[in-house]
Amino acid sequence: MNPEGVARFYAVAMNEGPFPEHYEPFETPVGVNLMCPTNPKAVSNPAARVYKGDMEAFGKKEEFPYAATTYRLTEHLHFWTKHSRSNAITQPAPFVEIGEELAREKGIRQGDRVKVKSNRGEVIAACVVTKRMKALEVNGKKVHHVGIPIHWGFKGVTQNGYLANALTPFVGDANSQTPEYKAFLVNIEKA
Amino acid sequence: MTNSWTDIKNTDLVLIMGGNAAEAHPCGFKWVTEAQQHRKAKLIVVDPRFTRSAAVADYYAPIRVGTDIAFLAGVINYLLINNKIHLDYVKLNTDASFLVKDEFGFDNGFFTGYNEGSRSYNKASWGYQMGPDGFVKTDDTLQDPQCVFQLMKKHFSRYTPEMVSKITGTPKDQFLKVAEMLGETSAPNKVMTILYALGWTQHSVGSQNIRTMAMIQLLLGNMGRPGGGVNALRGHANVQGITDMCALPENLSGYMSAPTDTDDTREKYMAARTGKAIRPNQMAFTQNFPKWHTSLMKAYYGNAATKENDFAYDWLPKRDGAYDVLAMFELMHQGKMNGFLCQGFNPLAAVPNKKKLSAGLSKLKYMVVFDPLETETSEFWKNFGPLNDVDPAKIRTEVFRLPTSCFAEETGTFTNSSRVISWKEKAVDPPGQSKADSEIISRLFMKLRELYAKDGGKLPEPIAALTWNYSNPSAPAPDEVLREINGRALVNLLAPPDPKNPDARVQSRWRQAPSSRASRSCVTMAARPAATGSIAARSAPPAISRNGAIRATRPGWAYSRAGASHGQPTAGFSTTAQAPMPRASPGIRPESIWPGTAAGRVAQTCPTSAPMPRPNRMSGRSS
Repeated sequence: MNPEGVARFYAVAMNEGPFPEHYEPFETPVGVNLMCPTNPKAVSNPAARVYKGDMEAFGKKEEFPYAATTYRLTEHLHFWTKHSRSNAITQPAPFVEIGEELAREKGIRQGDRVKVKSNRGEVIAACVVTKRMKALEVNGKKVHHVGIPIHWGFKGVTQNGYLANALTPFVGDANSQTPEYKAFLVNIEKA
Repeated sequence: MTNSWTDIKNTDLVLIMGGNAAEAHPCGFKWVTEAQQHRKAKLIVVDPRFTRSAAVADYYAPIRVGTDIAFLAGVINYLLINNKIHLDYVKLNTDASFLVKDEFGFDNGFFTGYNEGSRSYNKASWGYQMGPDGFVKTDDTLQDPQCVFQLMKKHFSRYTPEMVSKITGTPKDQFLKVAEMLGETSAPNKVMTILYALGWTQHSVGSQNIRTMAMIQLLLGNMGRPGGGVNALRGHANVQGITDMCALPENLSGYMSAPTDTDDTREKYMAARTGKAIRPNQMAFTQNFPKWHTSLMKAYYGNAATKENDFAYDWLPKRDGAYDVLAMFELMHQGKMNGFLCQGFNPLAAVPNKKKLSAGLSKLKYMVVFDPLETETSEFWKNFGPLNDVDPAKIRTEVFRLPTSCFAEETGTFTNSSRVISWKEKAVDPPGQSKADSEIISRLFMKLRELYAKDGGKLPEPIAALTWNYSNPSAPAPDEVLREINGRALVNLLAPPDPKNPDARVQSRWRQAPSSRASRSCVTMAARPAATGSIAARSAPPAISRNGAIRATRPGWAYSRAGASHGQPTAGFSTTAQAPMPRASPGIRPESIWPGTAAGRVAQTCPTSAPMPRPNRMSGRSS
């Protein structure tokens, strides 16, 4: 179908290179790309478009040490079903999720109100402490994750909550411009 | 999806990475459990969280967010050094043997040609070595250091299990276990599938996440096979429909890239997009780009799009830059965008960095929100305490809210992850004054057209000449729109004559009949094996069904087979002809319909196993 007539391992159309290469998220808990530790300009995707002002709005690991990600829950569809009573009954209130070890370190107990901050905004919600997220050892250091379900806002019939995208960075994939909702940095403390 | 939901049941191994199908796609996930129960398929989940998908997996490995390429590149390295690849498949179906330009290289995080100022690559040093014949040079032994296979080996050799573990946080033994399980499907009788979702796309390296996996599936020989493939699970109901229906700024309908400022003539536009085969005997599907584009322009402008006016190419807008969602909000934030029609979209909630979005929306003169719900976006100007701490007195944006119908309140289609389009009927009337989005847009269009007719203006033609043939132009019926999307033939098209037997059509009596496109194609197609003698000796009567209808094939089938078979061996047709034929109904003499042996041969070569949608015109003559 394509001019080669066969599948491509080597794809010139890709904007950051014909072969895939690891680059850190724009907000990295490691601070360095271990594949090229001496090149500070290739820590994150060197071909991703970054607008003026957005680079400065990225957080650093010193201030925001935890790797955060957003996700969806079975009971909700994006920001729509918070307007539906039956969905609101099954998942009524916003929460964030952390592992037991991080909870111990921060003195957070199951159900405590916590403030999750990125360099762009904050979310306050109940904290769900689970065994599902464990610290990982990355380059000799421990990295904790913070999980943030996205479904709440200030309109609808669920309890009101902060918009999760108060936290996320304004940068996208170098080809599709799909935003980087799935890897950024936050700090967390008891609210 | 490269495969379908139902095809997951044919797999030996499922990898879920960058998604959580059990929770986010519970209905589709049943095909995973089907494969687990009936084929003893294994399930691997790699995810930062031990999700409910992981809870029913045979193996789970944790991974740090945003490091999937390191993990998958490590798998590529593992497969290459342990010879866990399907070599015959790789040689036949990939560019592994193609030679790459000598000047191409990679060093310390950058490929050759990087421009730091523009954060982009000059790709001149990338690409294949071309021979004087216009074809890529290859080395079928895969030994040349510049062949893609060797370059790939070198590039990925840096992703050792130790390095993978150091970057991803996945313990080395767990990474190796996953690599080993994936590697087992390099056996020709084993196949694996991968299910991913937004956990792979929503990254600054999202496209490459998916590409790395596609490379693994190619090395394992798992693409294009039942139970294989790289399968994206779409999140919203009908989000596939949105992309298919070209609700993207960089595309025209049919995923054709829209013209940009530099494409100021139709020739330039076509030249940049029309493909040419770079290996012998290949066809380069995009060689047809001008045909697709011309068809689209005829659909847009009908008789107003002519060869003389370049099929109205000048009426198409030419993009002067990016208009993806981030670019749009950047423009707004810079104060370069004054108005915003926000249709079925809640960007204040759905786009990153709410603070920046809110500042951008505050700089608009007006915003029109089309939505069935009261969205956060439509009330971005209102203070909701700490949840939305803004000062309405300082926001000048005028906001209009147009209530629309929701999915259950309108007839139309859904397109799912498998690209299956389902028709759905309206369940209830929309409440109050809500209208379907299509009606709002149409009424807006009719008003614009009226204003152009009355007041004139610069370049009114694209609006004035646009095809708008709906029974109610202010509210097109969904079935009318679907029919329009489906396309139609402007003139009757005939299959080209067989170069080996140009008289084939003349031999047939069909030529004199007002035959359908299908039957003519069938003649052309069918005459080919007869001419080669492969089935010429057969004398069975034509296939006739109980109602006397001749069993021709479906038009699309006949047409595509006829088209695809040029220059191809004819064996496929012989095989088809040998399929059991239904017996003729008693009382109908084939000769009365099929005088002459040529026609007789024609009939039997039509694949009789294909279902007959409706009697064609020939059956009318026979009954």
